[in-house]
Amino acid sequence: MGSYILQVENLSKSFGKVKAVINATFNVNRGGIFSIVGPSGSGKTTLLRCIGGIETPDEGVIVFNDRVIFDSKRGINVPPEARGMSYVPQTWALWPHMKVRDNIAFGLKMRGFPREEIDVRIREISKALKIEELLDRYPWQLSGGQQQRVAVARALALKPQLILFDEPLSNLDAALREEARVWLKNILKELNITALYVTHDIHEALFLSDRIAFMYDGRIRVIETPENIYMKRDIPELARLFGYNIIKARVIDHERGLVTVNEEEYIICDNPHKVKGDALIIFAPSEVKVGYSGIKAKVLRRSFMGGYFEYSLRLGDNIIRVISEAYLKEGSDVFISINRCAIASIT
Amino acid sequence: MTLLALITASIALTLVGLIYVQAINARPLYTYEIELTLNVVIEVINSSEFKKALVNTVIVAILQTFVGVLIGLILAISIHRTDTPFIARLEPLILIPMFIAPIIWGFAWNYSYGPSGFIPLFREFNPLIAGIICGLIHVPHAYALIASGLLSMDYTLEEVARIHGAGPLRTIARVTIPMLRPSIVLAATLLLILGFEQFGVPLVLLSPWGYDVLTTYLYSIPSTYLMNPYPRMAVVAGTLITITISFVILQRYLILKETKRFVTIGERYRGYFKMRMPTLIKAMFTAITLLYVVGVVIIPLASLILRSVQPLYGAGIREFTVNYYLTIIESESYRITLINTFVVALLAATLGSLIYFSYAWTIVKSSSRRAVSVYVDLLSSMPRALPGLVAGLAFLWFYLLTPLRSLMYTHLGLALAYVIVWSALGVRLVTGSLLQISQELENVARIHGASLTRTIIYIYIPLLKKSILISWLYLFILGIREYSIPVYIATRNTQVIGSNIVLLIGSGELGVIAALSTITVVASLILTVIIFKLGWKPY
Repeated sequence: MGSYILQVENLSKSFGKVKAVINATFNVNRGGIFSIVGPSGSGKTTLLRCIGGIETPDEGVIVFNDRVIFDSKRGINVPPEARGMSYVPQTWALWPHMKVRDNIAFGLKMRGFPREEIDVRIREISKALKIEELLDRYPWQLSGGQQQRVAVARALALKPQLILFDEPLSNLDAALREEARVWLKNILKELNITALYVTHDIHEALFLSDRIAFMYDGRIRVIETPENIYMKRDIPELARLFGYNIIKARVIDHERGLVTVNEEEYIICDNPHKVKGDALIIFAPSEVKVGYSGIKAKVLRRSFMGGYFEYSLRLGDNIIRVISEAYLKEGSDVFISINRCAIASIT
Repeated sequence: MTLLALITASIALTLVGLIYVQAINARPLYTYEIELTLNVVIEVINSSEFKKALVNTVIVAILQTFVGVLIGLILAISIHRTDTPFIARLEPLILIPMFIAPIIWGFAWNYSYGPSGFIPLFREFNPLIAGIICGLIHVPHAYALIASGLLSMDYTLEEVARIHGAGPLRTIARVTIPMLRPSIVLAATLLLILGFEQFGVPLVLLSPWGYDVLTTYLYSIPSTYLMNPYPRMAVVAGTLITITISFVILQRYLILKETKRFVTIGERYRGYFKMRMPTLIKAMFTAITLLYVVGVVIIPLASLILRSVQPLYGAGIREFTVNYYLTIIESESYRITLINTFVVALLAATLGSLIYFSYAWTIVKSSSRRAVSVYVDLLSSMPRALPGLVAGLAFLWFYLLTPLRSLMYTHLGLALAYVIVWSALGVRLVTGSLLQISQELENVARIHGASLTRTIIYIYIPLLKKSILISWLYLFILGIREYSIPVYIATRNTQVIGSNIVLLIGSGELGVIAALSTITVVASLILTVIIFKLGWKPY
């Protein structure tokens, strides 16, 4: 048994002229949560559906649990029901004509489990997810949070080698989402089930995942651990997900990482970069320090966020977002320094 | 499933091809001889009868569209957007004309408002009057489409208009109606198409007064040209199809264009927004609705039923007889006709449900190839352009020329013709309910281990149970109502009530016609009540 549960090689999928997924290649370790993050339209859901067998890729190879389930060249395409996975879609898709119990039992029945075994599994999983009292209700009688638990229970009951999650928390309100993240992570770890988790919420991915793939415009741009993804500053599209400032600058000395935004003052970036001339610099709103020295900027707007302020500052020709506890007057000139800043080339 | 859809969809294409080929072939197609010529085409098009029929057809179609859409719009808005009390309950009555054949409406109007009717409103019938009558009985078609547009429209648009200072009438004029444009365009083109292919009403109301429209002209050709009427018939039929196909294409184009500008078709905003109306306006809306229900639906139908139990035409309402019904029951050929009607309707409803499901599946489901799905989609909407009479004629040739010839003399053969001709409507019926089921319900089932067949058995069928039953009943009603398709293909053994009525015209058997019509009306009404009870809505 290899250490990878899932291997995807050069997978591509187009819809007409739109290339949804381009040459996706990655491996998923056994027993971890692997997230695919990207803005909407980046192709992450299509990639997930290709792995589940709902979409047929145009090209590529998918190996699941040491078995080739898709290979465009060899004409292998195992139908979804024979792949041995389970699935929690964004809408949860509980079958409205079945009680919760039957929803959970469905996959087990399809896979030919005996009645007694099905009952045992339903009892176990409903206890673990605290949904025992919901078993005889219909989906429409459940709240959003309950429906989401049932959808997860239905997927877990199969004890699959891999669960596919497609933004399963996005239909919950903020408070419930926080709570769901925690129990979802705990239960997956407890049962040692591998999950492939698609989301557009980078913070959700950071919290849940062992590894994160960032996808943009159909391509996987980087695969890293949550810690390293967070530190990764030189991909503007990824930085945008974090809400970082991305502004134009000119590289003065690329070996020392010296850039300027106004041709007068300089900023030192911490990733000496091959780029010369025009470039982008990227930094977090919280990593801007306001003080009495540094680069001159003008305070355009101040918003009180409770405990801190969020500012819009004019810096050269750019408007940047800054988070600070300091009180600054709108219209005043201030000096800022940037703690951590990365150079990226203009794409 | 895709194969079934492909085969049946291709039959529609063959039918159209047959008509065009016959139009330029001087010999009947079934002789397998070819003598290509445009002479017949030129001769027919230049004949004064053809020109007159064409002009009358245009008059009927335009009036039908104008009257039908106008009243449909007024009824839809007053029922779904105003607080006029009570009229919403009349909705089932407004929809009744949909379920009864135009030819029966022709008789019903003749017996009620004709020169010797119970309320002799018209001293004679002409294309103008017939056009208005056609418009009145096609109000439900327009009403259903416009109501559907209203219910899928974001009503906050109207709420904002009200809060920003527009009164109820101005909101309707400035916001509601402009927003409804896609539905209105859809309704208008549909009524125009139905107007061009109108056969029943002109046959009953216009032919006796010496007026022809293209369909009745087509129907009269064999009695004038006994030797080889087929090329002439094909020219008239071809003209009709050319017109209706152009409108179907125009309709598709307009809908595409309109829906890009006004997104009123899509997610349903089932919340109700009813505008408070001044009492006078409410009274006006109530009066229009009542006038429609009583004047257009109840009086004509009551007259028809009354006529079926009256011994002498125009003798007042003092005497009653059940003789016409006895004639029908005692005559073996009428008995067979009655049985045939139900058998063919049963077969057509069942076969139709199956075939339309396969069409809808091929069109809606992502698993089928796009080219296939577009082909099936287009061809399923093409029969919309095939007037029943023309389709029947084309089917006659189709059966004569293909190995399916033996089907021609069977109920199944007739039912198959119905199913192909209704496909535009039937597919829409099934597609609608199939689209209501989220694709993810299937996806989860598949990934959790169910094959496609088992997904259909465990997920789709239980969820679609009710709508399958409703569509089946709807098709069954259409089957009972059908009169124009079987005119040319029903044989002695497969004659149905509708085509029998067409044959009886001119025989003077008016009482029997009224009794046969009453039987189909009663059967249709009973079934209509059932599908309403099951929760059917035309939108």
